[in-house]
Formats: sequence, structure tokens, C-alpha cells
Amino acid sequence: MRPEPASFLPLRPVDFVPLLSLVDAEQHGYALAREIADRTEGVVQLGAGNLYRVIKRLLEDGLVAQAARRALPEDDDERRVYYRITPLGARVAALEAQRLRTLLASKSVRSLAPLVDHA
Amino acid sequence: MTPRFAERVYRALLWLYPSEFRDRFGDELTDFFRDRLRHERIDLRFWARTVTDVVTAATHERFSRPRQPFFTPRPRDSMLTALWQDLRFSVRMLRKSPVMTTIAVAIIALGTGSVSTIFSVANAIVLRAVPGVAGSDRLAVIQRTRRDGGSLSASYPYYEHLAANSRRMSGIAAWSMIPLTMSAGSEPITALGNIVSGNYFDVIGVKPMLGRFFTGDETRVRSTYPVVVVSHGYWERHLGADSSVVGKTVLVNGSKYTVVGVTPKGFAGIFAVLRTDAWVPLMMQRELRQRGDLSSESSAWLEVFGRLAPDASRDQAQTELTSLTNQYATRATSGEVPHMKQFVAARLYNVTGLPAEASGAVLGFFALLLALSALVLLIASVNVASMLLARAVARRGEISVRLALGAGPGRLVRQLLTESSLLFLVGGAGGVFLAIGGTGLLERIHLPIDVPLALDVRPDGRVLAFTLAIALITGVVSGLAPALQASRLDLAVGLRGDTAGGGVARSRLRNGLMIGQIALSLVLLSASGLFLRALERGNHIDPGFDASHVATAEIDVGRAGYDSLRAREFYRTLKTRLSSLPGVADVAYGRTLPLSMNVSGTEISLSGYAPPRRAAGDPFDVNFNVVDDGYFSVLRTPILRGRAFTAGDGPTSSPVLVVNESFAKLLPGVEILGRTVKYNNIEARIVGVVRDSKFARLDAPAGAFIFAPAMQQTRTATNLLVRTSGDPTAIMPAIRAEVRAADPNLPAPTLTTLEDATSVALLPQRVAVAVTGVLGAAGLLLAAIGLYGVLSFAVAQRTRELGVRVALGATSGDVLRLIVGQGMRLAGTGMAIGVILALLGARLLTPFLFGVSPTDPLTFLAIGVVLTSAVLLASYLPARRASRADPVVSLRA
Repeated sequence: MRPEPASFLPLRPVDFVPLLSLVDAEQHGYALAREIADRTEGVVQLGAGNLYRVIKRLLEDGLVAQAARRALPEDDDERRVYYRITPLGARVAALEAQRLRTLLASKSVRSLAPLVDHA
Repeated sequence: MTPRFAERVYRALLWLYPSEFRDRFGDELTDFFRDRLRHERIDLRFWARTVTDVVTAATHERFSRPRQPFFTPRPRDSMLTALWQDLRFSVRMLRKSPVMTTIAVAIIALGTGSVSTIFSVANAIVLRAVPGVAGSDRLAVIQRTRRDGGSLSASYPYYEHLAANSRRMSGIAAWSMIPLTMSAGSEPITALGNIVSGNYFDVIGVKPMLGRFFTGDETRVRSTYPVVVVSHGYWERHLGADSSVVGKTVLVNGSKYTVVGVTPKGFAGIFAVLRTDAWVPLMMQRELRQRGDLSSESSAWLEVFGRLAPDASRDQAQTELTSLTNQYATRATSGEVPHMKQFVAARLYNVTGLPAEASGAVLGFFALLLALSALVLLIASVNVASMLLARAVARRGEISVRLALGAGPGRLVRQLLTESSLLFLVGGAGGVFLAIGGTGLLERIHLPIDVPLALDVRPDGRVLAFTLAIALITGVVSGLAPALQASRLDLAVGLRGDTAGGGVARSRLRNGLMIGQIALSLVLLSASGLFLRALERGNHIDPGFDASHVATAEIDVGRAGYDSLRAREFYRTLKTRLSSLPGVADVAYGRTLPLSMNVSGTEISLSGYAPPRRAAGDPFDVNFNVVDDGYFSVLRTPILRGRAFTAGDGPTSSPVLVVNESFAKLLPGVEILGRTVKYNNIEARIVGVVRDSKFARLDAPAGAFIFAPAMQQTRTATNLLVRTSGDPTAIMPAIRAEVRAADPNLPAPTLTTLEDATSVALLPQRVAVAVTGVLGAAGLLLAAIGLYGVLSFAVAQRTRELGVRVALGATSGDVLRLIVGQGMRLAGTGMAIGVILALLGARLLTPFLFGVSPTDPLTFLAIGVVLTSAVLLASYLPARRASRADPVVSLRA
């Protein structure tokens, strides 16, 4: 049975952000953790163990897959396992993005804006 | 730290993950870590983040419910629902095996009961807030101290100096204990009074139940206002709980005093351990106390305490009082000057219901007993833990089914922990009941002291909370190992229903727990053995006097209005009357009884003797007692040289003294007889030397001692000593009647034997022997039961193996030896560990042992024999069962 992408919604942020990070490029573990931290402005900082718990879950759900092991760009000797987003993962992420967009477009979100301190 | 080493540390941490997670991601996790090493600074925060990450991720991986991806997830149970389910299930499980539950509850009750019994007593004596005292955390006992830490009570001028000048204390009060003779229309009784400063009740913050406390001129003008405040207890016992009692008079020491107020129920003053009956104002000091004087700087007889000012801290107050003490030392005018120079500080102590200097020692003693009772609890917990472990094996089938049906390991561990906690809570409740019974027994121990105790040792809310808390903690701790093991069950094996072969790790844990129990019970037994030896040693120390066949009572005719002249006459008449009683061999008087917790000293100078670090003829302190001409013969203390006192040493003849051997040795090689001693403005000639005898402590020499003849002293209080030819208790009613006949206004004396009165010197040892004896027996019993359980279990598990052995020709003797040998090996290891622990711990007992070595070989030998016999018995029973089993039956099992 093929799982329905909509059945994954709403996606938890800790699953959504890694999926987004894999949309543009395949990543290895450490780079993925850095990317997640950047995208969330440091709010989500995953250590190795907790990152791989997420990866394990995403693998089991078929949202990401292992890419081939390959060399690090900065060092030819070291090789790393890279992860890529699956077509299912991409559809789930897209649906989640759509859901969030709808949510954020509401008037009440706009009226909350002044409360955020831009200074 | 080199990167390679860091990586190895991290690899070791990975073992915290469940194996499948580690197998799947271990290499990648290490790669990740290597990347971090390359990009991040390796400092403490780096490692803190690493460890936090590993621990949280590993915990989640281990204990979170396995994901069920493509099913609709069941809504998670709320914590409370889950707890309720766990509890209901636990109750069902515990009721399913009533025998094991009952035994476990009994064992836990024994363990927690022993801890909370001791804790109850400590709670009553030193921890509980002083009854009736408001805001006792702002109250502090004030003591002036010397550089060497010694302390001294306050004189009235010193107290006034503090009270008048302190700003950091909102009020400072003074008081002293004073025995009173009180009568309210009936036979006079000896009452325990407190003579107190006017602000005493205000500083404590207590309000009268009836009437008022001391006010106005009663607190300022000397010798004019005979007023008394009585306790709730005295009001009930002797004043008929009369609500119109205020304004009526009672006789205090033979004079009329007006009752102005009654204290509320439960209030017993600052020193709440004693039952105080009445309070009288400090201004009546001259009428009520024979010695000293309010204006005297040299008589230190007052205890001082105060309440901190609202904005003052304890440290500020202590600093201020210290400088006031120093100021007083330089300012003091007469008697106290040389003395006061030594007092350089004032210290604040908590108000605990015990005198400040005693509460430390008492606390230490109770901490020791508490530690020993904690050992019993530890043995009990270990015992129950191994029972739970055995049961987890029996429940393997059930647990496997639950795991197979999707129960997460976390949920399972929580369930098992709920079960063990419930078991311990029920046991803890039983322990509270045991503590109620135990403290009841303790209350009945007769203390050989002549003051009424007002100690309520029954468990209160604090004890209840304490007991349940330790029950819960021990429940979780001792349930943890069995629960974790159970959750790691191999489903395939468990579902097959195979109960044989428990796994090496499991039986190793069980054996370890057994060894621990034996070791701990040996520690306990060694404590009780050493205390027993100390008690025996203490009983055989020669005190230097003969306490057998002597009846004794404290009498103070001063409290019936006698002056010293009439007192002398009274005592002479009483002696004659008592001497003519049948069965009385000899009668004497002595101001202070030896070994009765009372000491008295005085400052003297001896011509030609220089005290340490001082000049010849300077004053120094010696022990001091006032005795009559019969004292040394009644106590059978030999006169070594010179003479004892005689009837000729009267008030008009020249002052004389008798000294002891230690005193005579102050001037080696010089004849001490005939030398002059100056004390209290008296110059007295030494006429005799007596043998040394123990005085303050049984385990230390009395030191230099002088005795003054009663006929040359002006004191009205003394101890009567009657040597009898037969049993001294048989003659006590006759003695009591004679005292009452000599003057009906005197309270009937409380008579004891001198043996009882001096046995207070061995009180800590006697209490310790009783308590550690019970604890040791409980520990031994628990360890024996535990060993029996472990071996029975082992026999049951090895049924088939033993059957094979017998079938192959092993005799029943072989089987017996095999099982008993297994028990003895465990016990031997446990005892070896226990001996090491006991030798390390026994040092703590040294102060109570009267020189018995903490490594006393006889004690350890005896304990070894006792423990070995218990172990033999506990392993023989299951071994016999195994040896009698029919191999045909066991092979079919």
C-alpha cells in the first residue's frame, strides 16, 4: 500500500526542517545539522544522536533515502554517507509548506506582527 | 585531549544506545563526531553537549514506544491514567502471590520500622520545634566561649550587659533551672522550676492560657513580689484544673507565692526535654536559691537566649555579641576579671530543646544509631530486590506476552517500578506501626536520672513523611535492577515458557545481592558485639568505691525554709534516727554523687604549686565535693594517709580538707599532709589522702579532687547515703517515712540505689547494646531468609541437573555438599567483605568503647561463629530437599 502524502500532515517542525534542507542538495549528517541550525536561526540544534533519531524516523517513513557514500568536498580521504529527499518526501514537504502558507495568510497573523521586536 | 582519544571516549558512549540503533548508525555517528572535532572548539561545553545528546537520544531510543507507522496511532494515555492502570494492575499482581507479598511487606516493615524508630527519638530530642515557641528559627541560645572552645554560663551582670546593649537582638532573656518544693494545700512535692528574667515569656513568644506572666515591678524590684507561673501539667495535676486559680496562693519552698498565670498546654520552656512545673521571677533569687547573688560577677549560673531583631542576621548578631563580650571582659570589676579575660566570643546556637553543649554529642550518637538502622533497611531492600528478581523470572511468560503485544520497554519498567514502590509503601506503612510500637518500648526504658522527662517520642507527621519517603526511594531503587532486567527479555526464550537456566548475568546479580546482605549483617553484628564488650568492660571497671547495698536520695531542707544552722541540726537528727533503723549499717551525706552526671568544681590555690603555664600559688580548678564524716566509710573508699573527717571537724574548729591521690601527686616528693589550700576565702589544712575514684566519667581518671567537711559548709542541699546490710530497696519505705517524720513540710524524697544512680555513666552503652542487639538480630534474620530464598531458588532451577547427577551416581551426601558449598561460598565472600567494612567503620564507635579495641578479635570471632551457623542452617534446608528428590521425578520435570 502506498501511503497517502496527506496522512503525514501536520509535519512536526523537527521533521519538516531537515526535509527542506535536503531539497536543494544531498547532505551528510554534520552538514545537515549545521543547515538545520542555520535555517532555524539556532533554535533547533540537533546533536548527532538526536539527528539520527530523526533520520531513522524519516527513513522508516520513506521520506528520505541514503545516497551513495562519497568523499567530503574539503578532504578526499574522508568519506561520508549522504542523504537525499525521496519523491514522497518532496510531496509531503510541499503539502506542509502549502498548509503553513494558508495558515500564515490569515488576518490574525498579520495583526500579531507588531508584537515582534525587530530591534 | 587528542582527537583519537576523544573519538575513543565517544565510541564508548555509544554503548548507551540500544544495539540495533548502534549497529545501524554507529559509524555515521562517529563520522558526525569527527566532523565536530574538526569544526568546533573542544572544551567543557563541547563535552557537555555531547553527553547530553547521547544520554537524551539513548534514553528516548530505549524507552519510547516502538512506532507503529501505518496504523492510526492510539491516543497516548495520560500520565495519570497510566499510573492508575499501573496501580490497579500492581494490586492485582501483589494479591496473586500473597505469600511473597506478605513476606516482602514484613521485611520492608522491619527495615523501615527500625529506621523510623530511631528517627522518632532523634526527632523528639533535637529536631522537633520546641513546643509552644513561636518562630523558633529566630531564637538563638547565646553562650560565651573561650579560645579553646570551652563555654560558661552567664552571671547576672554579664546578662544585663548583653541585654542592655545589644541592638541586633530584639530581646535577650535569662533563666536557670531550679528545684522547688511546692505544695498546694496537700503533701509537698519536688517540682522542677525555672527562675526567669522578666522578658522570658515575651522573647519566647508564648501567651498565657490563664492570667498573665510577670510584669512591672515583679521584673525589676528584688525580693518583694512572690509570684509564680505554673505549667499546664502542674495546674491539672495539683490545682484541680481550677479556672479561677489566678490570684490563689501556693507554698513555694515554704513561703506563700501568688499564682499569676498558667502556661498553655505543651509549653515546657526552652529546655523542653524536661517537664517544667513552675516559673518564678529572677528577682526572687535570694529567697529561692541559697548560693550566689544577682550582683555577683563570679557566679555563673544563668542560661541566656534571645530573639534576633527583624532586620538582623545571625552573623551580625554573633559579631555584635562577641564585641559586647570582649567589652565586658575589660570592664568587669571584681571577681570575674581574671576569669572573664578568657572569654573572647559569644556564639549562637539553635534552640533545640537540649542544652547547646549537649545537642552536638547527642546528635552524633543518634547519627550513629541511625546509620546502623539504615543498614537494616539496606539489607531488607536488597533482600526484597532479590525476591523481585526471582519473581521476574517466574513471570517471564507474562512479560513476554506483554512485550509481544506491543508494550514498550519503558511502559514495562514503569509498571514493574510501580509494583515495587507499592510494595515498599505498604511495607513503609507497616514500618510506621512498628515505630509506634518501638518508641512505646523505648519510652518504658527506665532512665536512672532524677528529673522528670517530658519527651514525646511518638512518631509525628514528620516521621510519617520521612518513613514513606525512604520507603518510596528504596522501592524505586531496589525495583530498578529487576525491572530493567525483565524488560531486556529475549522474547523467543520467554514465550517458550522455559524457566530453566536463568542466564549468567541474572544469577550473578542475585549472588551479588546475597553477598551484600551477608556483609552488611556482619557489620551490624560487629557493632552490637563491640557495644556488648564495652558494656561488659564498663561493668568491670573499678570505680574506686562500692556502690552495692547503698540507698540514696537528694534532700534540700533549704527549700523548706531552713537556714544552714537549722539544716545542720536537721541532718544530725535524721542521721541518728536512720542509724537506729534495723538493716541500716551506716549513714552519710555527700553534696554530689559520683558518676551521676553531676560535677562540681572550685577554684583554689595551693602554696608551692604552680599550675601549668602559671606562677606558683596561682589559682586553678579542681573537683570539689562536700561530704560528712561517714562518707568515705559508707562508700568504702580507703584512707591512704592521715585521717578522714571526724565529728570534731565542726563549724568552730579550724578548717580542714581531705584530698585524693591525684591531688597529692601535684607536689611530687613533698608531704601534702598539713599543707594549706585557699578556696572561697577559706584557708584549710589538708588532713588526709584518700584513694582516687571515678567521678565524672567511668573511662577517665577523676583528676585532682578536694573534699570539704559538711559541718564547715553552709549548704542546705545534700545527698543522703544509707549503707544497708540487706537489699537496699527493701528499706526504702522506712527511710522515706523517717524523713517525713523528721519534718512533715519536706517533700517525700525520691530514693534510688546508688548502683542505679551511677549506672547513668553506662547509659549510652546500654542503649546502644539494646538497639544494636535488636538491629543485629533483625539483620541476621533477614540475611538468613535471603540466603534460604536464593538457594531454594537455585535448587528449583537446577532440579534437572541434580537429577542427572543422582542418576549418574551422585549420593545424597554429594548433593548436600554441593548446595551447602554454594551457600558457604557466597557467605564466605560476604563475610570477608563485611569484615573489611566493619574494620573501617568501627573507628566511629571508639569513643563509646571504654578502650575495647574496635578490631577486638574475640568479638569478630564470635560473630563469625554466629553468622556461619546461621548460614549453615539456611543452606542446609534447601540442600536437604534437593538431596531427597527422586531422580526419576526431577528428570521428568
